[in-house]
Amino acid sequence: MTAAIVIGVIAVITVFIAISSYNSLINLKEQTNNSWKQIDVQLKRRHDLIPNLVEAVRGAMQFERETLEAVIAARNKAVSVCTGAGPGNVAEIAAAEGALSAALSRFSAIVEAYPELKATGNVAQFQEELTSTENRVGFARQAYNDTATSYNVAQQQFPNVLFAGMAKAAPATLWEISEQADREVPKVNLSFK
Amino acid sequence: MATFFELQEKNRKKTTWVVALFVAFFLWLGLGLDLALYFKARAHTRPVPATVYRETSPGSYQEAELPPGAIRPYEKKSKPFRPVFTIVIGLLGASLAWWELSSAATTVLKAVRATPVDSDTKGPGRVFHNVVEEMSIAAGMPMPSVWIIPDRDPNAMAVGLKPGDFHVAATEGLLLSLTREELQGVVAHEIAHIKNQDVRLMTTLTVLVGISALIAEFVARCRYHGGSDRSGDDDSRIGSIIFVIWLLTVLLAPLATRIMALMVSKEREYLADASAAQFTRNPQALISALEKISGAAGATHSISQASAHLCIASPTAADLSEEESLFSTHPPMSQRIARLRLIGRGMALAPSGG
Repeated sequence: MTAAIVIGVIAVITVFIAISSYNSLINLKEQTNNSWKQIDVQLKRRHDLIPNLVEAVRGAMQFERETLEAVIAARNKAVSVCTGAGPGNVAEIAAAEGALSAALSRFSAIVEAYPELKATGNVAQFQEELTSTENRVGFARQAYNDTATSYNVAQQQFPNVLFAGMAKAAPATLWEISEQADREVPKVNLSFK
Repeated sequence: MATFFELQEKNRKKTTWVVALFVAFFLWLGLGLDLALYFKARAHTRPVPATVYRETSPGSYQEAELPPGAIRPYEKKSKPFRPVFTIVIGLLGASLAWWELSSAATTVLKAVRATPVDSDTKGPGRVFHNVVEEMSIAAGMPMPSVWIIPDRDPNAMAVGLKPGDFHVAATEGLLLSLTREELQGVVAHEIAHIKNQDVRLMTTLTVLVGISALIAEFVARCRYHGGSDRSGDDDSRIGSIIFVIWLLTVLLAPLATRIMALMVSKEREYLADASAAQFTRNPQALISALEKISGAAGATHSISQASAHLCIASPTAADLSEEESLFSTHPPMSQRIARLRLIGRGMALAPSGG
């Protein structure tokens, strides 16, 4: 009788642990997917914004055709990589977007050097939009990496590790900055008022 | 790194506890009074001759005549216990709390004369709006609405209780004196307050503390005329004891809850600073923002003491001193900066990632 009760209690506890760890894994998986979608939203926003930004300064920057074209080319490449991509294609997207960020930071540095652009006052606004766009992408990526890390850690922890298969939990790829050139943070002037 | 969902869960539980405590307090306000009055009334009812029953068959009784010469027992026939005050005060507290909480956000923003900032404004407002959006992305939160407070002293605050009703406000002085990165730190601190559900906890606390003081005063006006009783019977004594305990709770509760609120508030400030460092990955910017804010040292006149705990720095000038006081809403600036430095050192040592 006592043995039956003990076994019963253990069974109930086991079921509870299983349910809660399954649920927490599903929860984290959803959060990871959601923060991935946030990156996607911000990347799309950046892709849509770049043509406008380039248009805005094209007239004054005729001698920099090369830079402008590099930006547009990098943008088009990123758009094509991004379409229909999921969390599985992190590495590809990260490479394309990294190249775009690098092109944008060169672009931004050159805009700084044009006094006639500065004089119109549009530069401040232009820089602000560029900075904010880059920041949004960066912070969305950071939030994704944070969530994905806690998801990955949770999968390996006991007792979650026993139920990872049941919850179809697989390690999420982190968004890493691979190329050395892209590691350089775009340094934009932050002091305009 | 502790996940923020855990912290949030902890705060949600804390809020539930706070609300439960206050519900109990409101009920006690009414029930204590009812009980005291009930026992007092009982002490004053005179005993009446009791009716005597006789068992005619098992389970059925009939009124019986006493045999001549027997002494008739006496009994007290007091009125049944009616918890009038319990119901009235309970309902009053509940409706006041509901009304206050549902209008808390807009009331605070109206009180500081804040003006809303659209997504297509220009100038410093534009930068502010962008920064708020960036930080809500970093925190993985819905975008709050953005407000500017017309005040020259640098300060910022967060209000709102539920998604869709979150607000972040900064003074003009803050937007003019901080760099973009410093502003990011301050906004991240405010967003962290919202995300960790501090705003919810603190607003609930403030509203309930206010209401309990209000109700205590209201009840104190319904003066209880107990006086000293010549009849020193048990009922009278129980009534007096309950009344004294009740009176003590009414007098001390507002003070006790205020001190509790302030203690909770300080702990939440440190947490919001740490969260801000996590969101921006740049504790240095928040440090220099805090230094600038404490350097300005003036009082933010437009923000009242009641909403002090929602700000980045206490709006009262006296609270900007370096001494740790029981009644200040924020920990001393030097302490906050020291802790942020520690976080900064931890980040520098940790392998870069994310």
